[in-house]
Amino acid sequence: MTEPILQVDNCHVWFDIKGGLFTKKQTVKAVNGVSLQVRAGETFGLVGESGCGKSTLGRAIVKLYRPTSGTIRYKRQDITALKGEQAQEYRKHVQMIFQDPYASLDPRMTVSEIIREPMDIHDLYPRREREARVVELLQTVGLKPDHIRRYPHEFSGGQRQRIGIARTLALDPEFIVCDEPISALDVSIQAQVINLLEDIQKKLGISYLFIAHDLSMVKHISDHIGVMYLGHLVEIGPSRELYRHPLHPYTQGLLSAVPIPDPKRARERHRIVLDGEIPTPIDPKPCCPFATRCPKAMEKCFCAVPPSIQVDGRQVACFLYQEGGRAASEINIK
Amino acid sequence: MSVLRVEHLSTQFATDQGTVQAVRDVSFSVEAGEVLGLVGESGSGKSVTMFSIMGLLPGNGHVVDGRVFLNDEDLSVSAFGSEKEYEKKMQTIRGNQMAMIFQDPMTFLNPVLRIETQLMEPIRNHTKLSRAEAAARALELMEKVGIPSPEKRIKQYPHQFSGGMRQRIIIAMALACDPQLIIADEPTTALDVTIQAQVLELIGQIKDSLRSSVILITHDLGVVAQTCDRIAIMYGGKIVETGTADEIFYMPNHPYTKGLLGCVTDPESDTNEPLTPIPGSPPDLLKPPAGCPFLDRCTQAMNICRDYMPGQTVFSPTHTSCCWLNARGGEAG
Amino acid sequence: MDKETITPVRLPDPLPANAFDALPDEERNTEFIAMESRTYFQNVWANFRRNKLALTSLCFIVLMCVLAIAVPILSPYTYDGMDVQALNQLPSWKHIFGTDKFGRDIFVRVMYGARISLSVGFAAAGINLVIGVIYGGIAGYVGGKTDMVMMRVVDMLYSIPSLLYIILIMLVFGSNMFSVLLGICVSSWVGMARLVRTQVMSLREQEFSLAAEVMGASRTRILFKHLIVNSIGPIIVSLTLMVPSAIFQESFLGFVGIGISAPMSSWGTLANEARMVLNSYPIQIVWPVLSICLTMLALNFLGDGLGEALDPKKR
Repeated sequence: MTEPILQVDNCHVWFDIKGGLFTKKQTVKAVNGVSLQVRAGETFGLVGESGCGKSTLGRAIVKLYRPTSGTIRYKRQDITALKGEQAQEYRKHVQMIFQDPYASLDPRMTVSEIIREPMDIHDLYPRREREARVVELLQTVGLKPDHIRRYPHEFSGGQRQRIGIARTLALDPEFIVCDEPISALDVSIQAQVINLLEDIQKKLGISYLFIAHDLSMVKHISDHIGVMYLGHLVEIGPSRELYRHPLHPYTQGLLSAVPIPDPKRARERHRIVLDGEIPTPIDPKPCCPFATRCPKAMEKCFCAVPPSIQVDGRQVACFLYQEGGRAASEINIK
Repeated sequence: MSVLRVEHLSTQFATDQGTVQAVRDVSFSVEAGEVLGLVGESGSGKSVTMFSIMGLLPGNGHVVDGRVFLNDEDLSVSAFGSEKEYEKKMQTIRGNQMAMIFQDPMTFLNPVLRIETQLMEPIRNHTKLSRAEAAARALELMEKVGIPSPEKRIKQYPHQFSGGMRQRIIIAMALACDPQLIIADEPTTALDVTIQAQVLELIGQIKDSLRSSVILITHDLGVVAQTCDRIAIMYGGKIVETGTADEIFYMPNHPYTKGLLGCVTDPESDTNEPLTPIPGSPPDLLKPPAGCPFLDRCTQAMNICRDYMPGQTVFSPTHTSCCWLNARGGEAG
Repeated sequence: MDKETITPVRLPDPLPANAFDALPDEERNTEFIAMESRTYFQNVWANFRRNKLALTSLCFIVLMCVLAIAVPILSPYTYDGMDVQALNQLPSWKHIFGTDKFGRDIFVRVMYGARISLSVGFAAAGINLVIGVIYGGIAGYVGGKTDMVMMRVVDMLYSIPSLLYIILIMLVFGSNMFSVLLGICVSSWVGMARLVRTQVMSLREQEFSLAAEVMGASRTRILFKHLIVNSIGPIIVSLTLMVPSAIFQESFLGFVGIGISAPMSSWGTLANEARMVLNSYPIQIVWPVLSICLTMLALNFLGDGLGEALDPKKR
């Protein structure tokens, strides 16, 4: 198997909430011991509901946050400690596409200035060629060259997201963190953006970390998928396997909650509706994060964090699969 | 008899760039006890249609044409003669016969008032119940929408509830006066998948127990497939196709509907069929095309589509579609 | 299938032969944007123009500036030219605002005062802009301990009564325009710094500034090219409101007699001089006071108008 291009090991990202005069200092454990690997040219999908820490992890990978502990290695180099020149070099390779196409483009800059900016910063291409490169990038993402003098607010959401992608591509990155790039877009536009990202991957061999809460689109684009819950990665597996046969009770509930665009099957489908809400990530108890909502929770789930183990070629962090070799299929909720 | 009938509704917004024709000649009806899904992309006019019906348009928007009937009672400004009379009438109807559920519950809840006070408000406004009776009714509503330990929680403030719980409270407020029609504008868009499933289940239960009609505005075809009896697809300020859920999903006629279905993937299917996105961007309603609004993105567009709006083709009592392909000598498909 | 087509539109008769042929690709208008492209300031101007009160105010201020420059040059009188033949005259064709107790033409003196008052106002606003934007920008962007220390310094400056150090400055540097300006600016940039800081702090969390960081943009670049450029709206509004407050402060200093010294005049000192003959010639105090009032009103209306025009939510 090829060596991973990105390797995250036991990564924690914690934020301190400053205590007031009468309140104790609290810690938001946004990412709590996550390990994952992304191979060159593949797409790793990271799914989970809001507040599960998936975006925080993505931001730690592009060096917007510094992990509290653990390592993030890009091509074997630990990037958490990179500074100055080396950090700049890393930024050329690893880029990010943002969620909100309305907020991620500077409203006071023209399209041309926006897409040029990364080239200006890193002094790529001779000055005179940059304009031509901007036009080329615009065409890559399916926009017209005469849009170049317009301002972001004149575009629709999908068009803006494509401008954002063009800006990201300006640096010829090898790895792109896509932070919910389609969740703010309309259905017909989502498919456009997904196809665009896939085309770019095919053409340029870029690897993606694709963060989203829309499970059907993630399945479509990803080779491997990791499911996050409350700062923990509860299950990792090849995307088709994971969807066909989810192991972790949370994955099962999550997949069952996804509405399917087929009225007959929707009527017949047996759905697991998870009760309750996601607990707060402020000073979580040292137990299975999902224990409070899990339909199969056992006593020990409330006592310790289940370690991640290999089951059927997948990684699952759940006590159900821990001992005695109970076959995964027996436990699956049907 | 239809609960709601909308005929030739057109709504425009005045902006400094010109007039935006947000809704153009929209007609549809909602039968008693059914859930109508109004599907469309942002800017297709689906929310504006509902705001026009409720008389809640912002200052620069106005209904330029069309009529709205609730139980055969004409609720158009023209039927009342003046804006003032219309507004007076609508105040007795909103929250009473017609209720609305919004996407973002926090904009609808007053952060400094207890839930109890806010729940009692529509009850006291529209019924003759006493304070104590209204309070009892409020508690009953809290139970109905599945909020745990309602006696305690009814005394709390909105910020003490999570997003999903707030949405339940909004639903409780909408139910306060047993409305005949509930308009839910993207009620689950802001929620997480597992919470969305909870809220959708709740809406389904309510429909069954109350026999209210529901208009569900959404862009999520999965949500529609799961909850709606009938579906109307909107594009560029017009309704392009209507039909029962089965007709829309299994026998789509309009190229836009087909396109939309090609844009979604089934999370349960084993094959990874490629997505077939609709190219281009939605039309700019500042200068909508003279002909079919879908013209520029339609792979099957014809010369006639450019200049003439297609008429309605009726396939069954429930299934209609507006596309010139159907007029092309029966070879439509 | 049973088909019935209702056609509410009138079709051309006869129907062109190619009506049902595929639409040629070049006739499609994909990625069409109907909105005309306007820069930010074109938009602001379009919004601003509709506010007649603000527009009138802008005209008034421009007119005032032109008069302040032109009148002392073109008029036959000078601001300090005394005429013992014509003391304390009422307005007439010769002296349209009348003369003061030394026979100086009040109109010329008011216009000369406008020079001083307006330049103090604009200069103070300009200095505040530079200091406030840089100071507030850095405090807001760097954040943490730096921000804490910088903002406590600001609080301290704010807590000292301004009259105290203005008098001190006057003692050291004498009663001239420089010391008046210095005195006004010592404390008034604080408001600007606070405003810029809040703006920068909220914009810093926006995705476009995160995007710039991921791109590898330097901190100075993010601060000046993205954050401050995007706070320009509130900055301009606060700037227009800062001008009248500086004018007012200067006039106040002049009026209590610690401003610019004679024979130079600002509106405040003119009012002060007129106060001495208030009982016998009350008309003399009207001109400087009227000038102050109208200018202040105009600048305030202008600030309000700009505030509305620059507000992105109004779009």
